[in-house]
Amino acid sequence: MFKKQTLKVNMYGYLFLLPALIFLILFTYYPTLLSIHDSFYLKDNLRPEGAFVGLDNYKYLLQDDVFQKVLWNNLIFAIGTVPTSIMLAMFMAVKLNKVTRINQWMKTSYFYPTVIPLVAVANIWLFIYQPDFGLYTRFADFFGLPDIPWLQSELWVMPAMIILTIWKEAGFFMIFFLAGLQNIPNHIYESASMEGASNGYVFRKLTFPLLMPTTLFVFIIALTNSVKTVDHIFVMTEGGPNNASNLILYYIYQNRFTFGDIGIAATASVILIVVLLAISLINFFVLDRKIHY
Amino acid sequence: MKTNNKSLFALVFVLLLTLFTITACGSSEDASSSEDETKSEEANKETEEASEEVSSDKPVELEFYYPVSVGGAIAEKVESYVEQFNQQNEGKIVVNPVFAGSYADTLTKAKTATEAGNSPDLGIFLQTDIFDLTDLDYVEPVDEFIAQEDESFIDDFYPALLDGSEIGGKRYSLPFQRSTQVLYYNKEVLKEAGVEKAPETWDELVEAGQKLVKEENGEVTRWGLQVPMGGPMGYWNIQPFALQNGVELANPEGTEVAFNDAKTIEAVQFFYDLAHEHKIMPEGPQGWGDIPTNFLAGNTAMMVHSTGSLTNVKEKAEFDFGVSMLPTNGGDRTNLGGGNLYIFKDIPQENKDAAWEFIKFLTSPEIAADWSMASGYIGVTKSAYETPELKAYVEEFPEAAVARDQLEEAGAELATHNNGKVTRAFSDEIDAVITGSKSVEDAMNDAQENAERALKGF
Repeated sequence: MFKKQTLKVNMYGYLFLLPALIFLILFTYYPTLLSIHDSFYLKDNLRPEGAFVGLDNYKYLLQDDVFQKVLWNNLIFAIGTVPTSIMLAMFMAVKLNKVTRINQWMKTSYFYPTVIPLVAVANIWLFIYQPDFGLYTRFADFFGLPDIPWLQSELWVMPAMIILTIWKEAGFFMIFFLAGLQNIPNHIYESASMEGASNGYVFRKLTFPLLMPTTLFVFIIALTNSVKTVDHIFVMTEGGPNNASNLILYYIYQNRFTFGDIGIAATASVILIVVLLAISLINFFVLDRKIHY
Repeated sequence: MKTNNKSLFALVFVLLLTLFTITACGSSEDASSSEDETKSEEANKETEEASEEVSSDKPVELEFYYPVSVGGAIAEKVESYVEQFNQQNEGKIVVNPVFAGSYADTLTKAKTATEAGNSPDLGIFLQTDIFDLTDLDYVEPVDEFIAQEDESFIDDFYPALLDGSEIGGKRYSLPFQRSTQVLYYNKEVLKEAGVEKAPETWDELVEAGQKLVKEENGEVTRWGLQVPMGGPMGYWNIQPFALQNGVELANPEGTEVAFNDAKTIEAVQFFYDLAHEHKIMPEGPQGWGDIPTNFLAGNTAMMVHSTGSLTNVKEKAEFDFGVSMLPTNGGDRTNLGGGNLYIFKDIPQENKDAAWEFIKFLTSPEIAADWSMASGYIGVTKSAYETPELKAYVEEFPEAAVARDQLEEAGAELATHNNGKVTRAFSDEIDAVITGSKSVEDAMNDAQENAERALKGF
């Protein structure tokens, strides 16, 4: 009797999950399996029907200079955007946590880049980075700073993308930290101030550790964003110059749609999936255990 | 019993929810394909009707993809031709123009749509897209349609513009918005700097450029020359230099490239030296769209740009400017560029016939002449230049004929199988050269290697 009941209850649970599961199967699992399948085939303009080549596509990618560069770029992009935007967001949240009129205005203006679509942001920054009459050039000329060929040099294009991304994302992450701060009970701070703890000490010993769950959440969002968001590359650089701003997702798009190379695109997708899976495993099995909720 | 009722209710609710999800999913798929279905249904109906009676009550609907890649009000112009055509063929043919972005975007969209079984009926794609489109078997040869017309129809086109649109004895496209690259120069600045005429050779180019550069306090305020360079289209802008040096970058079959030919390396080196050695041109990549702006603002005395920008420059220039053929080192002066009209394969015969009517309309002398005046593209037929309008225009504004005259000294645009990958391999290495990260020779060897890898099997 008891067993039957649990089965029944579980049944309802599964049934409630069914609608979401259908979407997951249609748009996540099925395409994933298809990509894995296609990654073993040579499938391009010459062979639209596909020819089985085993692991050749993987060998090709591992030897491909562009793919290596793209992986490297993505790593730099992640290292450049994730810690900086998290620290900036945390700093802004701690500073603006007190409800005052000016803080409300500041919060709104910091959050504002989040509501603009990335394509529009890219167009704004395209103008800022324009070498001859762009905003930065004018600014630099006025203050006697050196001109920087932001999007024209292999050296500067990545910093240009990183700055844009931080500008766009920090305000968004700030919201999470503000919410996180609301959950820290006030009496802890009161007792700390009675003990005469300094501001820096309070932050290091109270605020920062208690914000850790939020930080982890934001970290995951930021990390996946660094792989997921490539809209600005379409608008600003198309991966150039010489693939210096090419990221893995754009590389996949390029191979699939511009070059028509389905096999290589599928193989790169599979590699991306494996990397993301590894990151989430590390997250759930290692980082998660070190945080006290 | 009571609990049973409750659970029954929950069960029904969940099932309904699931059903709703599935139908919602299905209906959204329906929505995307319904257009396609109605199209083919209509087409079927029409074939049935056509077999019984000639008259059909519903007009043939055509989906027409087109790109825009030069400045000015080009899109409006294309739409106005479509409107004119639709009015002339009221009740018979309706063309629906679809603006699809850049050339690359247009090709991508057409490929994706065709793959999904929703092919456009016709479109404007690069002449060089021919290998991609025929390798995938997406487009229809136009020979049968041409055979229906008088012989004078095809003879009227400039031969240079028809080059490269044939594979295996079959022609797959007709020219529409074709351009060459020309040298625009600021007449007033040339006069002021003591340069008597536009440069015709590489040596003259360097000499003139050095006179035209203007420096103030050690900073350049005016360049001698600007050439668009860098990015995925970089190959198109560097190719004239190779042609001027007497080398074809690809064979006509599109299976071999000459990226590390000694003459190609020499040409790329010359281009590099214009900025780094002779200092008549800024270093690094130069945006395609920024260069006309710089020219119009007087920041450069000369620029190399598509003839497609001619009308835009003419309308906005506040100074007297001239247009001449590109300087050469003995070879052809420029490559060709621009888009042709293609008909797709996977559409009903009526649509193909109707698409042909539209192509005839777009290449008719009046439209070709008007299009040439509106954009600066070359009028595709000889009779276009015989129309009173274009004749008068050329007389008053001789620069408009430079592109046509240059056709005699123009080479085919770089085109190969797997064109996207091959041109990208070349453009990437050009980027590496102009940003100074590789020597010309290393870069061209790498380009050759990558291109050969992409061409393996063809």
